[in-house]
Amino acid sequence: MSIEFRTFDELDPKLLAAAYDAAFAPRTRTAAAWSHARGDGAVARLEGIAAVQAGRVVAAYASCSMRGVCQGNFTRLGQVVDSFVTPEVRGTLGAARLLVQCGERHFARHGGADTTAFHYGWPIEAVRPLGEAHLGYLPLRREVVLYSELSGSESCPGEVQVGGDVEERLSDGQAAHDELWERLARERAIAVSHDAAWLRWRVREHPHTSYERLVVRHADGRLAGAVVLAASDAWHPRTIAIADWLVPETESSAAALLVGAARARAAAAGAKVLLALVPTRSAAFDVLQQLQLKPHDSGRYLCVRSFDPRVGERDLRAGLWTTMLDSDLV
Amino acid sequence: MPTDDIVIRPPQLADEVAVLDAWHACFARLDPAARLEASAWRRRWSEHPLGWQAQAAFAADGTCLAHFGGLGFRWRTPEGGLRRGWLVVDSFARMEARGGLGKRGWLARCCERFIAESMSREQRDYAHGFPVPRAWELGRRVMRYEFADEVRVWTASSEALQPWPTPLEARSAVLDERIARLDAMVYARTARIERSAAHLAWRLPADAQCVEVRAQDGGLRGFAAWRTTTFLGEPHLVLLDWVVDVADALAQGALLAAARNAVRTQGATRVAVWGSPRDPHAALWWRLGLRLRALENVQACFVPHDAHEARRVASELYLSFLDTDLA
Repeated sequence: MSIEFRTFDELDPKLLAAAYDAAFAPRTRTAAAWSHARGDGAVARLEGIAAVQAGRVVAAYASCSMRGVCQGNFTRLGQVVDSFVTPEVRGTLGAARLLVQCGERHFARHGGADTTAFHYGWPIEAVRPLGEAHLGYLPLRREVVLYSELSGSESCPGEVQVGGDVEERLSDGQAAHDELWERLARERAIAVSHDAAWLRWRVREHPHTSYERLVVRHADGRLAGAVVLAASDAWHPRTIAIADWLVPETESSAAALLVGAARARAAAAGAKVLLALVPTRSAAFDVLQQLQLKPHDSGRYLCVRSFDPRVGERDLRAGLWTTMLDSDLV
Repeated sequence: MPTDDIVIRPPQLADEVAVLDAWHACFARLDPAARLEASAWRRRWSEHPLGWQAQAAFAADGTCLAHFGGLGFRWRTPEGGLRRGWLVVDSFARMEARGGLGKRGWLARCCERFIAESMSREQRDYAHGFPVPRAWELGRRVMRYEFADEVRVWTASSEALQPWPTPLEARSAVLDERIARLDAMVYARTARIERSAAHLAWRLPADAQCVEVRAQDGGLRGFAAWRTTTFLGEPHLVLLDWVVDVADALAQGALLAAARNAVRTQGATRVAVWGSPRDPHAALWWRLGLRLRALENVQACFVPHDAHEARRVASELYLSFLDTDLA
C-alpha cells in the first residue's frame, strides 16, 4: 500500500493525535497539550513530517523549533520530539525505514542555516544508532546528571549575602528576566533562548506540569539568578529537578542561595533527590558540584544534527547549552 | 603524489627511522618541541608484551606517509571471558598524504587495512583510543570511529588527598601477578582491561611510583601507581592505577597516605584520577573533594561492523589512566 509523506501543516490534526496516542499508549495527549506543543509560531513551533498510509498516520518525525542564539547571532534550534511509528507497522521490516524516511524529509524541509539550524535531542538507545547511521545524528556527550540525596531537614543557607531573599515568582517582569537572559546569552555559545517569552510558553502556559520558579535579586532589584523546579521521575523516583539553571557565572552567591532553596523546597515536597542537568563543560557543572550535587552517569547521549556550516563539531561539543527544560523529561 | 608505487604493510624494524621521521613531520607541526626517541618508540611498540598491530603506507623511496596502529590488550568481560582489544595510538599522516575533497587519504587506507587484517569480526575484537578533537573528527569521518564518551577526570587540589588513620602501611610494590589477581577480584563481574606483571612493567613509565598494601599473610590488599607530571598545565599527581576493594577502608587509607606523602615530596599542586561517575571508587573521590571535569579529548571506539557492540563495550569498561595514552 502506498505511503504518502505530508508536513504537519498539511495534515488533519486529528489524524496525528490518533497516531500519537496509539504509538505512546497508554499515554495520551490532550487537545490543550497539542495546542501547547504546536507553539505560537514565533517562540516555538512544531514542525514535522508524517507518513500516511490508507488515510492513517503510521509514522512521524518532528522537532519543536525555538528561537536561540549561536555565537552571538540569532538562530533557531529544534528539539526532536514526537517521533514514532505506530504499533501497526512497528516490528515490520519497513518500520525503521519509515522512520528514517520521515526524518530525511523532515530535515530536508525544516533543517537549514536559515530555518532551524540545529536539531537536538536525547534519543533512546534503540533509535540512536539508526539516527547516527541514517539521519546524521552527532553524539556530543553522554550526559552526566548531578544529584543530591535529601535529608528531611533541609534549610536555606543563612550565610549567603545577596541583596534579597529567594522569592517564588512564576511570573515576573519581562524586562527583568530578559536582562538576566541577555547576560546568560553572552555566556552560552549555542542555546535555546530562555528569555521571558520562551519561559512564559514553556513554563507558565504548560497545560499539565507545575513548575516553580525561584529568583534571587540584587539590592537594586535586578535578577541575580533564577531556577525552575519541576517534579521528574525520568532518572529517579521522588525527584525534584532543577529543570532550568539561569544563573550567570559570576553570581556564585545567588547560585548557593538558589540551590539551598531548591533543596529545601524539594525536601518539603517529600522528594528524596534533587537533580540537575547542565553541560559537563560548563562553569555551572563545576558550581553545582561545589554545592554538593554529585555526578551520576545518565546513560543518555545528547545528539545533534547541525545545518550551520560555520559551527563545527568542536564548537557544538563545547558550546551547546541544554538543561532539562530543553528536553521533554520535565 | 603518484600513488601507484605506494604500498601499505606492517612496519618492520628496518622502517623505524622512516616511521619516526613521519611522526616528527606530523607532530612537530602541532608542537615544535615534540620529540620521540627511537628507544621510546621501540619500547612502546616492539617491546610491548601483548603485541601490536600496525599498518603503514610507504612510498617507493621508503618514505613513510602514514601510520595507523594499535597496542594489544586483553579485557575481561563481565561474564569472566577474555577478549582481545587494541589501544589506538600513533596514528598520523604526512600533510601530502592526507585526503580531501572526496579523495581518500593514506591514514584512512591504513586504518581500513588494520581493521581488515587485525580485527577479527568473529572474535568481536574491540579497539579504542582517546584522540584530540581534530583527530577524532577525522576518525569519525573516514575511519569508522564511534563516539563512546567524553574523556573526564576527577581532579582537585592535592590537599584533597587526606588519608584517615589506619594501622596499615603502603610500601614500594613488587610488580607481580598478585596485582592481576587483586584487580580481577576488585573488578569482578565488570568489564576491565586485564593487568599482568609484564604489562605493568612495560606500561608504567620510569618515573612512576608503585605502592602496595600487604595483608598479614603476605597477600595483596591494595595497589596503586602514580606519577607527577604536567597535566592540564599544572603539576599533577596523576593516579595511573588504583586497585583496592572499595570496602577495604584500611588499605585505602594506607594508599592515600602514601599518595599524600608523594604529593609533599614531588611538589604536585593538584591530583587527577581517570573520571567515570560509574567507577566503583567514584564515591571515594567525591568524598575526598575531587570533582569531575570533562576534557576536550573524546573516547572513540570501534568493533568491526558493529557500532552498537563497540559502544556497549566502551560504556562497560572501567578504565584507569594506565589503560590510556593520556598520562
